[in-house]
Amino acid sequence: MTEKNVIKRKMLVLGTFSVGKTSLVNRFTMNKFSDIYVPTIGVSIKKKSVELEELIVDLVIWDIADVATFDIIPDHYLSGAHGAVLVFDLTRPETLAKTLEGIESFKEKLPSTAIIIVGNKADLIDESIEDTINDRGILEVHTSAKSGENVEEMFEKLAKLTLEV
Amino acid sequence: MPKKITNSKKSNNNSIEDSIKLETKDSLKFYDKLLDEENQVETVDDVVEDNTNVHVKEKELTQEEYVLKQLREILFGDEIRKTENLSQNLNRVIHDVGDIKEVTLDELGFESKLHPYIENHTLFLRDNFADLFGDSIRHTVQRQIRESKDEFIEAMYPIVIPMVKRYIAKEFKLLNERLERTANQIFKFSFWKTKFRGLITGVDHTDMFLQELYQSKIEDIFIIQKETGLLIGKFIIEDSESDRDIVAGALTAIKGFVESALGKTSVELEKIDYGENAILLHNYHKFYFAVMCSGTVGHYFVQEINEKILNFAEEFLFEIPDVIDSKVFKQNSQQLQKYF
Ligand SMILES: Nc1nc2c(ncn2[C@@H]2O[C@H](COP(=O)(O)OP(=O)(O)O)[C@@H](O)[C@H]2O)c(=O)[nH]1
Ligand SMILES: [Mg+2]
Repeated sequence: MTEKNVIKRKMLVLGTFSVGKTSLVNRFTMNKFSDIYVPTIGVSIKKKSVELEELIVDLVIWDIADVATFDIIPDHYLSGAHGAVLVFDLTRPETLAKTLEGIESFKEKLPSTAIIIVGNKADLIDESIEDTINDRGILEVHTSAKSGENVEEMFEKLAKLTLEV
Repeated sequence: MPKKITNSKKSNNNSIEDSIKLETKDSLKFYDKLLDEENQVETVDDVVEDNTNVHVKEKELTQEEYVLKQLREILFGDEIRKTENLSQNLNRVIHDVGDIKEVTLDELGFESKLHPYIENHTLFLRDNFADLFGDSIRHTVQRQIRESKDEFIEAMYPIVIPMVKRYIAKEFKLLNERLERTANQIFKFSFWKTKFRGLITGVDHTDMFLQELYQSKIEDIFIIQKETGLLIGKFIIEDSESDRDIVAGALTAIKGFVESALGKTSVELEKIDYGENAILLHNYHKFYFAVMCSGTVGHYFVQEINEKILNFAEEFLFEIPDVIDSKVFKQNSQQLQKYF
C-alpha cells in the first residue's frame, strides 16, 4: 500500500462577532464545545487533517478575531489563503447581511480562494427559517458547533473545493 | 590576564547599559514631546514654578469667590431669598404630585404594562449589543491603538522590547557572575583556544569565550512559505509535543503583525527574543527560514548560522515549488538535515 500524498492548505474562518467561528474550529479540531463566549484576539491557529479518497489535506486554520467587516482584517492574515469559511449566525439575520456586504471586496482581494458560506447555530432555529434562507439561494451549508451537525462535512467540502481551484 | 576578563566584563555591561540608557533617553524624549505639545514649559524647573503658580491662583479664586458672594448678598439678597422660597414651594408641589402619580400608575397597572416593554428592550440591547455598538467600540480601540502605537507594540508578547532588554541584562549579570566563578578553572584551557580562533575569524574572543560557557544551541529549523505561513520543510533536533505547522503559522502571524505595525514595508523582522531563547529569521523572496535557538545567542553563533543558511538557500531554494505536498516537504527536510 502506498502512502497517500499530503497537501497543505491555509484556511480562514471569518465572520462578525460571536457567530461561532471559534466554536466551529474547536468542534472540528478537538471535538469540543463550550457555551462560554471568549472573544478571539488577533488570530488563533489550529490544525486538522482531512483524509480524502486519494490524498490527505492538512488544514491549517486561521480563526481570525471578531470584526464587523472583512475589509479591516490586515492583509497579512488573509494572504495566500486557499479556502475561507464565511460564518454567520442563523439566529441573527443581520449577520448574514454583513457577510453578503463584505463578500464582493473579499473576492476581489482573494480571487482564487475557495469560499463557503456557513449559517451556524442551526440547533437554535426551526426548519422553516432555514428553508426561507435556502430559497433565496444564499445558504450553502448550515452547521451547529453545539451539536456538531455538518461541521466535519463542511470543512471536508471546503478542503475539496481548494483542490479544484 | 585576569585583568582582561574584568575588562571584557565591563564592556559587556557597558553595551547593555547603553541600550538601557537609549531607552531612557527615548522616554525622556517622549515626555519632552508631550510637554511641547501642550505648549507649556521646557524644563523640570519650570514645571515646578508653574505648579506653585497654580496654588496661588487657587487661593485667589477662593478670595474672589468670597468677594463675589458679599457683592451678591448686597445687591440681590432679597431676590435670592424670594427665589429660594419659591423653589422650596415648587419642590413641595412636585413632591405631592409625585405621590399622586405613583398611586395612579399603580392603580392603572402602568408598571406591569411598562415592565415587559423595558425588559424586551433590555433583551434586545443585550442580543444586539455587538451589532449596535461593536463598530464604535472597534473604532475606539483601533484609534487608541493607532494613537498609542508605540505603547501597544510594547505591550504585545513577544515584542516587549524593554522587557526583553531588561531580561537579557539580568541574564548577562548572572552569566558574568557565573563566569567569574568558573573563570579560573576554564581559563587556562579555553582562553587561548578561543583567542586563537578569534584571531583567525576576526570575532571578539570574549564573545566566543562566553559561548563556550553558556552554549547556544539550535533547537529547530523551519522553512516557511511567506505568503501562507505553511511549513514547507523542517529540521528538528528534539521532538516535542508542539505541532510545527501551528508554530509556523503563529510565527508568520507575529512576523506580519510586527512588520505591518512598524509600517515599514521594506523592513523585515530578523530576530525575536523570548526568555532564554531567540528565533532568527532569514527572509527570502517567497520563503523564510526560522531558526529556533536556546542559550545566549552570540555574534559568532549567528554568523555561523547565517553562513549555513545562505549556502543552503543558494543551492536549493529556487527549486521549491508553490504547491507543498509530502514529496516537497520530505525533500526540503532531508536537505536541511544534511546541512545542519
Ligand atoms: N446554540 C449554539 N451556540 C453556539 C454555536 N456556536 C457558537 N455558539 C455560542 O455562541 C457564542 C460565540 O461563539 P464563538 O465561537 O466564540 O464566536 P466567534 O466570536 O465567532 O468566534 C458562544 O457563547 C458559543 O457557545 C452553535 O452552533 N449553537
Ligand atoms: Mg472567536
